[in-house]
Parts: sequence; C-alpha cells; structure tokens
Amino acid sequence: MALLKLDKLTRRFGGLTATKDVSLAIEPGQLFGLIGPNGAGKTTLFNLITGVYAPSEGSIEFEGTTISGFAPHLIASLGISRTFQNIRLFGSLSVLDNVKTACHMRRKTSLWSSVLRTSSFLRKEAEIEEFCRHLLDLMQLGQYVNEEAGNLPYGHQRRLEIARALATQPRLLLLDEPAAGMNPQESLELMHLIRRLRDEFHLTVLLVEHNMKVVMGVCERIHVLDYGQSIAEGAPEEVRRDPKVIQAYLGAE
Amino acid sequence: MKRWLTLPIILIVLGLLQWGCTALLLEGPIRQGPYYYQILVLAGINIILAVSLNLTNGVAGQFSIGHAGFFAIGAYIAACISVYGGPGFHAALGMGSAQDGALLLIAIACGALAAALAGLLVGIPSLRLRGDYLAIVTLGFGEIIRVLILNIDAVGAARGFTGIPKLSNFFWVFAGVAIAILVLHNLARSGYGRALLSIREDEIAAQAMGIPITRYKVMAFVISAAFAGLAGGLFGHFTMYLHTNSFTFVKSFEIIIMIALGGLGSLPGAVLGAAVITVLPELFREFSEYRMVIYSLALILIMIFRPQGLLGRAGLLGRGGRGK
Repeated sequence: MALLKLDKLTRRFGGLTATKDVSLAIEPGQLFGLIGPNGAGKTTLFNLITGVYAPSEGSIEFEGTTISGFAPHLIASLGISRTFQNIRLFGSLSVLDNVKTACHMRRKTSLWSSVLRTSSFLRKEAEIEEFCRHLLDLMQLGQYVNEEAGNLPYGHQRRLEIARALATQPRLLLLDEPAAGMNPQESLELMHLIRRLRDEFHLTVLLVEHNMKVVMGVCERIHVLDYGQSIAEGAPEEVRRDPKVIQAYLGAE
Repeated sequence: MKRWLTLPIILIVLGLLQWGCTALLLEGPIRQGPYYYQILVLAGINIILAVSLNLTNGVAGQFSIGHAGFFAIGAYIAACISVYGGPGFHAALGMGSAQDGALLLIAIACGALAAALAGLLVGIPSLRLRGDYLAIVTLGFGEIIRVLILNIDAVGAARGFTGIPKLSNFFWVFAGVAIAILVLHNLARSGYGRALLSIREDEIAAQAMGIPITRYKVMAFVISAAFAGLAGGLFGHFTMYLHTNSFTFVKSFEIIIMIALGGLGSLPGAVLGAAVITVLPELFREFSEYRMVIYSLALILIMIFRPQGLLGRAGLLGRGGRGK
C-alpha cells in the first residue's frame, strides 16, 4: 500500500488554479522527486500535504487515513514533517532549542511536572537533549549547539531545518529545495546525506528540487508538474527523455 | 539536589524580612518607614503583573494590552470573598492570624481562578486569529471590565470598594512574587516554554513541528491572567480599598512599559522594569502630572536606543532564559 496517496488534488486561489487534478502515490521507503519549472505548484502541493492549505478538491491519504483538511500540527503528529523553501527556523533560539522544540510533540511532560521540575521531567529533558545532540552531530552541526540559529551560515541553516524535521520522528519527510544556495560540493554531500537518513531512520522522502543533478542523482522516481498539472512520472532516465518535460523546461521547438 | 527545599527556604526568609520590615519601617525609627514599606509592597505586586504579562507578550509573542482587566477581576473577586464571606468564615473558625491567612489564600485563589476563566473566554476566540486582533480585543476587554465594575453597587461602584480587611502584607506579596517567578521560570525552560518561544518566532514552522499553536497561546494567556488575578487579590487586601481608577488602560500600559523596559521575554528584565517603574514616579513626585509624557518618552527612547530592553533577552541562567 502506498504511504502517501494524492487523488486529483486541486487547489484554487481565487481565479488562479495552483494545482489541478494532481494524483500520485509514494511507496514506503521511496526517494520521490517532485520537479517542475517555477510556479508549477510544487510548494503549493507541499503546503496541501502538510495542512497549511486545505485542498479545494480531491483528497490526501497517509497510511490509509484521509488527512485532507487536518490542522498542520495533527498532520505532523501522524508522521509527516517538512523543511521550508524560504528557511523558517526559530531564529533567536539556539540551534539545540530549535531541535528540542520539535521533540515536544512526541516526548511531552505534563504541565505540572514541568513547573515542579519532577525527576521524571528531568529524566525526559535529558533524554531529549541526548536525542537532539545526536541528530545535530549527524547533520554536522554538533559544534554549533549554543549558537543562535539565525546567525548560522545559509547551508548550515538548511541542515538545521532537516535536523529539526527529523526530531519529530516522521515517517515521511518533505524536503523543499534542500540544495538551494549550495555549491556543487555541498549538493553532492547533501545527496549522500539524504540517502543515509532514509536508511538510518527508515524514512520515505519527498523532495522538491531545482538542482537537476541532485534530483536525478538521488531520486528513484520523479513526478513532473507544469502549470499545476502532472505532465510525467517515472524513473529519472524516463523523465529526462520525456518530450513533454523537455518542452516544459526548454520550450517548444 | 534538594530542589523542593527552595520554596520553604524562600518563605522562611520572607517571614524574617516581614519581621524586620515591621520592626524597622512600620514601628521603627525611620521617619518615612511606612511610606517605604508601601512602595516595597506595591513594587512586589507590580513584579507579579510584569512577569505574568511577560509570558504572553514576551515569551509567546502575543500582544495583550488588557492586563489591568485581569488584575481588576482578581482584586474585586478576592475582595468580595473576604468582605462578604469573611464574617461567616470567622464566625465558624474563630479569629486569629492563621484564620486570616487561610481567608486570604481562599480569596486570592478565587480571584486568580476568576481571572483565569476570563482569560479563557477572551483568549479562545481572539487567539485563533493571527495579527493584532488580540491587542484590540484585550484593550476593549480591559475597559469593559472597568466600566462593568463601575456600575455594580455591591462592590462600591463609583464610590470605590471599602471595608476590605487588611490581610495582605510584605510576606504574602513576596511569597506571591516567589511563586510567580518560580512557576514562570520553570515553565519557560520546559518543553512548553520552548513551544511558546517557537510560536513567537514562526507560527507556521511551529505548527509544522507539531505544536498546536492556538491551544498553547490560550494556555499562556490563561496562566498569565491567573497571576494577574493573584496580584489583584494581594493588592486589594493590602490597600483595603479598591477603585476602578487603579485599573484603567493606563495601568495596562504601565505593565507593558515595565516589560519593554526590562527586555521583552526576559524574566529578570520584567522584575527590574517593574521595580524601576514603581520607584521612579515616587522619586519624581513633583512632576507627577507629566508621568504619561515621561512614560511615552521613555518608551520611544528605549525603542530607538535599546529595542531589546535593558537586559535584552537575558534569562535567570545565562543567555535567552533557556537554561542550560
């Protein structure tokens, strides 16, 4: 059974149709790429899946449950986490606290034990701290734990966003242009990292990316959008040769 | 670590200080002793108001400007309990300082609870929305409460509420300060505090990380209202007289200035701001008619030269109030 299934998903903003009848299915464990020219509706699709927008028509199924119309925090609690195209870190919080915040949902203590700082609360805090430090080490941010997140260099901020998303312990991770602003070397490292994370955390990854090298290199299956509609789907080589895709990116001959 | 000892030790120290205050200021040789004592206690009440508003405005980043409304609810409800319930209470349990203390605690608890309930009613509809709605709603709420009280005869209406027993003193007020600071400090360095900070920083990202933002904003607002109510109960039983003039929007602004002065989001900053704003007007008594002018000027100057407040985001332990 598909982990995530979109069925004829449509979202209109007034007269503008941002996505129209998009259907796709992502299998568990897949590295799934979503590409398309600017304004194709990729980020809108992300916002629909994570509950930022409600779909105008169509439905979203995650592990067999219809989640369209759910509030974002509920969708996160079901196991979908994301990063943002225009980085949305908690800028004035420390790097460590950014990740800790994302643990709150899964490792909650009662309000009373937090206020009284009971031993069970302190134990849980220590657990959270260890888990978060582990994630940060994994993302090579271990030396910046006490740094203010907003002060990190751009590439580090992108990695911190991934660490924070992982802290919610998702099954499906949505990455919105994780390689944006990275140089070729960094993008290459990112590709390896994404694969490693998938294996280590048993993730399914849905990736939006403009960097074709990254997309073609890392994704097992690619879905192409243009003007909000699906125009192709398949393995990287198939998509690369698809005349419709070439036309969308390079224009008609 | 014997963490549970913190509060008993604080209470014992406060007991000793109360004894010292009585000996030195109230019955002692200092000529203006009672006046200093009064300022000290009022500073304590303002500290509770400032640290509680700091949770909503500073930590969670929601702009509430009706804190005086919750302060008023706490003050009047608590006063009602001891004025109308006090005689029966004493008839049943006898007179004495232990009974007085118990009556005060019951009255304050009722005041805080009523303020919390009001906070819930105001918070649920207005905190669902993003933006300035909370400011508008709380401003209106504060005024509604004031005008409402002004028209209730049982609490003195425009004459003011008289005959409130003097149950509160330095000890009770600063015990309240200690509890408010302990609770709010611990809350701020727990997962709840981080969740509230994340809402202040970026609501969309906070939601995507699984934080139910509306519920948490309401939670912060209710806790903050409850402590304002507690401050109100302590206030009424100290001054023995309540009038709606103490609860105008000017009071709400005063509290906002306290936390802006000290540094939004900083607990020590709120304490410092409250102390400064209580004491300064007393030092400049002869210019009292210019108070609002000075406040506005001070706020503008802070915004220009030190927008992060005097203490910035300093917490009790190191940077940012986030503990280790």
